[in-house]
Amino acid sequence: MSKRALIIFLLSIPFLFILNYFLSNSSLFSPYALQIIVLMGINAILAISWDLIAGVTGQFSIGQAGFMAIGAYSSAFLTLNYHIPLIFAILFSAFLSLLAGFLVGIPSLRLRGDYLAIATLGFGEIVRVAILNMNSLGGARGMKGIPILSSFFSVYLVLAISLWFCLSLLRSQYGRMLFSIREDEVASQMMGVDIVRYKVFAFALSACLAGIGGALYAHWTSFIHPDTFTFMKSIEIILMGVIGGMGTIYGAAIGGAIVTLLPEGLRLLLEQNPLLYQNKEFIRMLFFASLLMVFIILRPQGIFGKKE
Amino acid sequence: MAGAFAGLVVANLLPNKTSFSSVVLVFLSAMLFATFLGILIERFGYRSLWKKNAPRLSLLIVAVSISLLLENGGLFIFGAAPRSFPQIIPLKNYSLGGILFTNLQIILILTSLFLMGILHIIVMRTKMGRAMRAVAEDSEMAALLGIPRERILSFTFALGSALAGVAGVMVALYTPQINPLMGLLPGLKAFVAAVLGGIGSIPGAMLGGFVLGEAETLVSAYLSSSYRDLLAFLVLILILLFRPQGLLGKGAVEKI
Amino acid sequence: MREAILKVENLTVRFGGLIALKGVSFNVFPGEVLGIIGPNGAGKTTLFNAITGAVIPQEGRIIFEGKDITSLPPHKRARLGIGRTFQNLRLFSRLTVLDNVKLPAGSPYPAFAPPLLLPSFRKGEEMLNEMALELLEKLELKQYKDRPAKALPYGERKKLEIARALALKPKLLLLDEPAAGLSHQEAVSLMDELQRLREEFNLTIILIEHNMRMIMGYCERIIALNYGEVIAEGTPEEVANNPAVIEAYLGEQE
Repeated sequence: MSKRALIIFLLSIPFLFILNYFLSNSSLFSPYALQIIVLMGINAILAISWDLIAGVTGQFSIGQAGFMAIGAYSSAFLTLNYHIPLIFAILFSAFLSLLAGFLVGIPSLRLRGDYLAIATLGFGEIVRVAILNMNSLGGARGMKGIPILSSFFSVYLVLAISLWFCLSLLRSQYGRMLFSIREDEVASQMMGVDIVRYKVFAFALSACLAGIGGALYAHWTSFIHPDTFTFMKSIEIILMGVIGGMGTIYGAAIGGAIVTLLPEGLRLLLEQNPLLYQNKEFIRMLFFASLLMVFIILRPQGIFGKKE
Repeated sequence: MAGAFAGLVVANLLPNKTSFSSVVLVFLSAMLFATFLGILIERFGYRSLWKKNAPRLSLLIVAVSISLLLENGGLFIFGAAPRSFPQIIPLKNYSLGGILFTNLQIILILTSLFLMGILHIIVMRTKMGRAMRAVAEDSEMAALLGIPRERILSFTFALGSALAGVAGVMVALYTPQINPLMGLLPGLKAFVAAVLGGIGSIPGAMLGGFVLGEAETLVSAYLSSSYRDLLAFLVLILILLFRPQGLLGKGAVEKI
Repeated sequence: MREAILKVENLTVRFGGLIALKGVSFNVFPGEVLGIIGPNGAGKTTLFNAITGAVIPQEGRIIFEGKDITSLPPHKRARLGIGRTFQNLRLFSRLTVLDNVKLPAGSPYPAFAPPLLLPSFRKGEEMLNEMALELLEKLELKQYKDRPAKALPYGERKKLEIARALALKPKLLLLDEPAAGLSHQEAVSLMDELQRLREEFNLTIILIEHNMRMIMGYCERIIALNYGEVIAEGTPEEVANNPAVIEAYLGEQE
């Protein structure tokens, strides 16, 4: 990464801090809009986490919701019950999801494409059902009253750091190694790349990021429930990555923003027509599913990806 | 799901629901509707990708999107509330040596075996079946030998969808409530069953289905029904780790 | 008696019921060009796969520079100095030519160096860049450096495979049909370049080829395989006149 990029990154921090002050002031800026903007940031982080494992390293995982859930619940549990500051809760949940990433990464080494996808989907479901059955985490009632500790600043700061970290990695020898795994695992090994180590590394990092996203999410929406973390959520995250352009990382971030905005635009449209509004959940999913199909068939490289 | 709902619509339209011809009609219409959908999906969803030699990932994403479209389409048309399926096969209870069973269970088991037998014959003994297996093994070579791959693919999809449609009606008869999301979990379990039995082996898939079904019932009975769905995924992960070729499958060797 | 750089002892590789290699044994001496010939399906590529670690033999040993590498994972063998090219070209298609060549050089800096912009990162990248450009220059590929690998014409992609393998700084280079698909002139110029590279980098080369003129012209020794077994070993003349070899090739083109 160039020196110029570094300067932009460092300058953005105070900029975000100042921006936060204005955006959080409800007399100056619509709280509803703030809600959307912060969610855009959180989704961007989640999208990046998926792109890292799927777009860059070529391991198609549909389990991001599982890692997100681990991050969300573990951090919420700490802040609700032990009142610890957000930063420590996030560090803890990052560590936990990192661990989960290792645990999922190691067996996944032997699994090829479609099998890996279903196995990660299975993992996500296992996490969800496990949480559903844990009363200490609220079980089927969900966890409510989580302190709203996330803010525009904290979310976008984490986003900026994640972008910086991932993009630096990508433009280095490590990025080349991960890309080579995506392109041709066998050839990659023959060229000296320890694909075991790097696949697990990518999984762990991806899981960690998703967990952090989950923690930030929990502390923004104040209420989490296992139904939030179904495989539909994983699909939503995948949609963000696909639209933005797999393998670019910054594309995923933008994809996250777009996919967050879409339902809002859709909602405005639907509010005009009462018949459609009743079924808005289904229409939303229908829209997402169609969008996903259209992109995959007509423009698989997404918005920012290069044409094959 | 589509099959089940088609069956529902037809069954509700029939005057004499419990006659033999009605039952056949319901099954047939479910099968036809599902087949029709399957062919449509193949034509508009998969064909363009398959022609472009798109990565497996794309196909998987499309598959997921289509399933979402179907489910949410169903939700939109029929609403989320479960509907009850008419009992076109009136229940009769039997008892043999202390084991209770119903005529419906017998009928369903026999129908399954019958259909699987037909499938096996089609795949193993007919020209079409041979063509299907040829395309599966080496699609380019099959094309070079004059096999019309597109038609074979459509046929395969039609066959699979038909079976799924019938299965939908069978589930509807057995748990007489249907809703648009009913196919989601069974769809995933079907994949698990196929992997368990060994991808590429029809007897394997049948075996996998039976084994998984049995295991689920046992877990439900002896452990707890909330963990039943978990079982499918657990089985999947274990199989993929320890015996990826499944029970009856042939291991594929990648030529380097 | 020279010490062999590679010793293959009694190698047997089975794929289910199919015996791909049976009791194969031979030595390779430092600096030589050894040719492997045999009809299709004789087990030549399987032999390469076994030496590089893509396939684990059921029986036998492989000893490289005195070390038993039979159960060593492929990437470690690459790091020890065994490089290879593939019959069907396995380039990293969507990576640039330059990146393809930079990759095999390993990681000159730790993973946290790039995000922290540490000097080891800057220096490491410079070194990789220099090394890669030098190699590309030698193989006359420098003009393509920023193009994606898949955009290159066939002949250039074959050269890129070789450049990439050389980036490993190998001591032993396994070339799987490097001249396949090339015109006669292209093949000759490729082999001449390989001779130069061999001298410059002190390489030992094992070559699988169907092109008899190539084999005869450039190899010092040849091993002939058929149905997974060694049927002849010796100088090109000896092997060409070996009755078993002639019989194996009867009916084969060229």
